[in-house]
Amino acid sequence: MDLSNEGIVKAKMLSIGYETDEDILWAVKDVSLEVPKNSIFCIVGESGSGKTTLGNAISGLLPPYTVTRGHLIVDNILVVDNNKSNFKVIRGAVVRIPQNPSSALNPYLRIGAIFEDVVKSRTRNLTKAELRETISKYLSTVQLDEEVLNLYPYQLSGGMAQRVAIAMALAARPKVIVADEPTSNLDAYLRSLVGNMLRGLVKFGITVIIITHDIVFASHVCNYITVMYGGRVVEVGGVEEVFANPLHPYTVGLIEAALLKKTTVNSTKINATEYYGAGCVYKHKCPHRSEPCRVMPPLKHVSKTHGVACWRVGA
Amino acid sequence: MNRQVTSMLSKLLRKSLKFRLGFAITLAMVLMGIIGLVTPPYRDEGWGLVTPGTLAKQGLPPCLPLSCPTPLHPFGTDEMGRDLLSRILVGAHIALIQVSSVLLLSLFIGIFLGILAGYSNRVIEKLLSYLTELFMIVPSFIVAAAFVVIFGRGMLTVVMALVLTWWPWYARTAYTIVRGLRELDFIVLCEVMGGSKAYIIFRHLLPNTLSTILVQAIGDSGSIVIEMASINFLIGSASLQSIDMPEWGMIMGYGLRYIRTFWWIVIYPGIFLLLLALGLILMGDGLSEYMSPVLRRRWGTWI
Repeated sequence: MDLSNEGIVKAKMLSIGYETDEDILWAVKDVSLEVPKNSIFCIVGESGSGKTTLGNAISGLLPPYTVTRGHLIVDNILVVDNNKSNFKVIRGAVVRIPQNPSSALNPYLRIGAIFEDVVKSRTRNLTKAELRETISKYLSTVQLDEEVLNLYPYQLSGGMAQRVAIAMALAARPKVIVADEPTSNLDAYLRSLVGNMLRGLVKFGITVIIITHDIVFASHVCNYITVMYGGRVVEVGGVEEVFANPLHPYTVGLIEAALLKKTTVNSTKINATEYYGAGCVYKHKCPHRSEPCRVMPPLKHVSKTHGVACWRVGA
Repeated sequence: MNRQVTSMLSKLLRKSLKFRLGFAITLAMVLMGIIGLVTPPYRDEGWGLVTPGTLAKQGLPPCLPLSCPTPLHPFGTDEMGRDLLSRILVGAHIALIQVSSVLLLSLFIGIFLGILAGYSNRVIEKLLSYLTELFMIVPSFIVAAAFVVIFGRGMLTVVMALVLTWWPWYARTAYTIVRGLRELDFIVLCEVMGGSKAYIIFRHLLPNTLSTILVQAIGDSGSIVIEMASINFLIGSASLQSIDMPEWGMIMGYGLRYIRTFWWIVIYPGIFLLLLALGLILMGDGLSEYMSPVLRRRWGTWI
């Protein structure tokens, strides 16, 4: 990882699990990563890979029945310290952009009223004119007219609502924005629009963490990419490095699938509990599995930023 | 918000026959209450005063198409000779005050505790849920009977008894709605942005809860009238002395023992009670049909 750039979110051997009746279901296991400041950082993985749980942990939204291990540092504040966690301290520093923007707005309030609340919660004692000016400034960054302010959330289209959500996230003046599947409900045109807007957030001094399953979208928007599988980080690195030279077989598979090159099914059906058995998380699907895969490989760095968890690399 | 309510009301009045009918009846009842408060024909008799003058005209029959003993008492007089029309007119505002106070108090307690239960930690949530269920299973008649024994009979007793058994339904509705709402993104986002609990409750949870519960409450108000009249009816029929307070249910309950001779004492307050309940129920039905398009479509063919 780029060490010249100070990390704003740091995870050290972070594990997050959910209490079930019998034991703990680990959704995120031994994840270490560092998100550089003012970068766009993507967490890519399939459903159930733990990427949303990781995003929830960074934005401080873990439900009370979660179990945590390891450390998570957000904005130089220790948020998760083994089994203790205190999310109150980062309230306001991290803001989310939700997956479904229409549920992110109170249906009984006009957009303008919600916007005023957001702005007022950050800056006190604003006059009416200043308030209006601030709001229109944020609206113009997402290319929306001021007419939006008089509408109710149900009157917005999906793309408009998502842009309103981005503008509100900006108005909250956070240090980190976590966008959980920001484009999964949008069509291709809006996807690129929202992607470019998220890219534009960096110039406000905001670090953007995008959680997505769409590796092509990630490759166009992000600076850094983390591929997760089965709750573990299998590959990290700058976007160019990872796409030019994907080292983990899962990353290779993801890129192939995104480019519609997949023609064969290379997996045997596995059930969720097998993820948490011993050995490499990907061994059930891996085309190259071999003897050492009975042990989970550690994350090895092949370059300064590029790391991969596979025995085939650097052995 | 205010403009929305007015526009919805006018739309309802234009579209829904049921609502129009119910609204008209309720409005007429409110007018009756005002007339009864301001200028009833016989104010003292209306409030239950018995004088030698009234005793002289005991049990005058009402004005019917073929027999009208005296046009001064169109609904006749009761067993103490008091003008029944005045008693009904004075009783109108009592009925309205009872219904609205039960409704408002139980709405207030119910919504407050419901939101608190839905938006608190597990201990408070469980505690309040048990409390709600406890009060839900207590029958209002038993509470009313106990209260009458403890506090004596009167309007306050009945209102208290009904509020105590009525709020759990609103509390449970509010709790269910808030439980669903707190998982939604806009509440979660408010929490992430560091909004205070009071802000989230009053700005976001309350308006979202209120619309549903208010419709439910207006629909319920008809049954409050019936329930209240039933309790008052029992109090009235158990009473040994003549009832002074012109409460419709009590007049009916006490008048029941004279039904073979002075039938009008029971029938006329009963008609007005029925009308009030009918008006409120029609209004609630119209409102809930307006809110739910499925119901509107189902009944739309014949209403």
